[in-house]
Amino acid sequence: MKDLLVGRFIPGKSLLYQLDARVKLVSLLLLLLAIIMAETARQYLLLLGAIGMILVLSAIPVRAALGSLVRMWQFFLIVFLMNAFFFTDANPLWTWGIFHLSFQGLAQGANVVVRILLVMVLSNILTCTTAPMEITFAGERLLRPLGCLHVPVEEVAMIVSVAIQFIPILGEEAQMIRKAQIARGARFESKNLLERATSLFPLVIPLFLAAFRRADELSLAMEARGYKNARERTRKRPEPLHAKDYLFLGSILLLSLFSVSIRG
Amino acid sequence: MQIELEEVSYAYEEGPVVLKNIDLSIEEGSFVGFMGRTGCGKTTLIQLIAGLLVPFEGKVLIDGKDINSKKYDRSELRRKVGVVFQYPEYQLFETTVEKDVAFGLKYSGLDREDIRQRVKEALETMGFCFENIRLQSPLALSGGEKRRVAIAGVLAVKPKILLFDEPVAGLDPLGRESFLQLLSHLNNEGTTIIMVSHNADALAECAKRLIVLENGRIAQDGTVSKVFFDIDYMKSLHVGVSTARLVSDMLLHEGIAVTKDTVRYDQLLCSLRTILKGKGSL
Repeated sequence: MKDLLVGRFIPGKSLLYQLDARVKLVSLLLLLLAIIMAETARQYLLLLGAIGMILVLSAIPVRAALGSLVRMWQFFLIVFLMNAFFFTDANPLWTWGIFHLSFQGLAQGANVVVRILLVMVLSNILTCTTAPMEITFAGERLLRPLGCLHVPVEEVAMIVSVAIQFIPILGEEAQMIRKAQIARGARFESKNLLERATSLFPLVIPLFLAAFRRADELSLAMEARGYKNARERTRKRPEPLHAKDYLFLGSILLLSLFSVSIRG
Repeated sequence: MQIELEEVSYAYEEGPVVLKNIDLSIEEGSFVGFMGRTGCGKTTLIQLIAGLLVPFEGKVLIDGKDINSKKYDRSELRRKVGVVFQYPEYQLFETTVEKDVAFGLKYSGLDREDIRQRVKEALETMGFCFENIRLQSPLALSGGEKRRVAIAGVLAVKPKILLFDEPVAGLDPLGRESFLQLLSHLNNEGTTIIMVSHNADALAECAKRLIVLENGRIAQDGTVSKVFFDIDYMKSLHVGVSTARLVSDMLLHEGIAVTKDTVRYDQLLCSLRTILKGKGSL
């Protein structure tokens, strides 16, 4: 349960918090492109430095941004080994059946792992410093041009934001139901696999019912307060970009372009 | 002592301290009511006694055994302590009422016939006709019926200690009345009952001892009439006193000599009757 909370929003006041969510989202995409196109150690060092800088600017606890990565070491190990052993190379170091180990394979594995790590750190920083609702609104604003193609951007954004807001509520509900069922004698820690699977019914069924009940109530409440999806909705706060937003976006853009240009 | 809390403190992760150095003992067969404003730690206390939360500091002992020690058998705790949470109807999940009520008996080691007997008894105690209700889906019942089925599921285990968290919230007056009668009945049969409620009338009706919590500490502890005596102090703790106590206080101010420690309706009625008889008319 607690693992889910890694990368969750931590309220704060540092520079990264003051930036507009749209700027942060676009910056993430730019850096993502730079990371995907990186190949040489120089590029990785440059990007690593940039991400380090961003982490410092964000002033979030390092544990919040990196904690989940340490716990995922098995995943990274598997990714690394898959790449290392199945890379087809003309002169492998070692071969056994379908497994080939080569320098290039090892390099490829390291490459992929480093890329995933960098991307995950970046997205962790984004979600730690930006409230889920802000990210949703930013996504909505950025995707608004798709409205011309009759993509219901606003509706989708509303659905996503409602879903995000429901996560902690349902989490709390799940805790309560779990406790109630344990108090009734449920056992969730059985060693037998089949028993463990069936022991989830007393948890999952009431949780589903709760979700439906809440959805019903919410839709009624929204209608009662006059929600309609036919017209464009206004926002409570104006949302101009400030100088620091342009500055940040500009420097990220330059950095990404530079990183791609030194590809070698 | 059946339940003992020794210097129990509790704090939620990265949150404020909810309970501070609570020392408390509850005798077998007693009926204890807990009051206190929202967020004072009542629900936390219930969950600590039920072993659903582990205290930060201190010990929780049931029948003299520390329930959080590694040697303690948790299933013994589950048999001894039953908990009815707020809105227990949301924990129903089985396809039939009978199965749902029997859920807690799954690991009890009882044979089928015994389980059926227990389920029947529990449902009848909650005012259902077993044959009529047993094959119905618990999810298709009305709100009040669901709650009674859920409580039956806890009663079926026959716990010696029953914990209720705000059980009368959302019940209609008649449902509340019969529920309180049920609690008194269970208590008379020897079950220890601990009930958290904001409803001073309900607590006055059945509790023998009242404990008021304020900021994670015990602010008041004693018989209902003792705790309800100081009306202003109780108001300052954000909990009221029973209506009967308020009315009798007003009557006393008006010079009508009702008994001073009146907290329940029947007591109030009784002393009013005596006064009326003495005067002939009011």
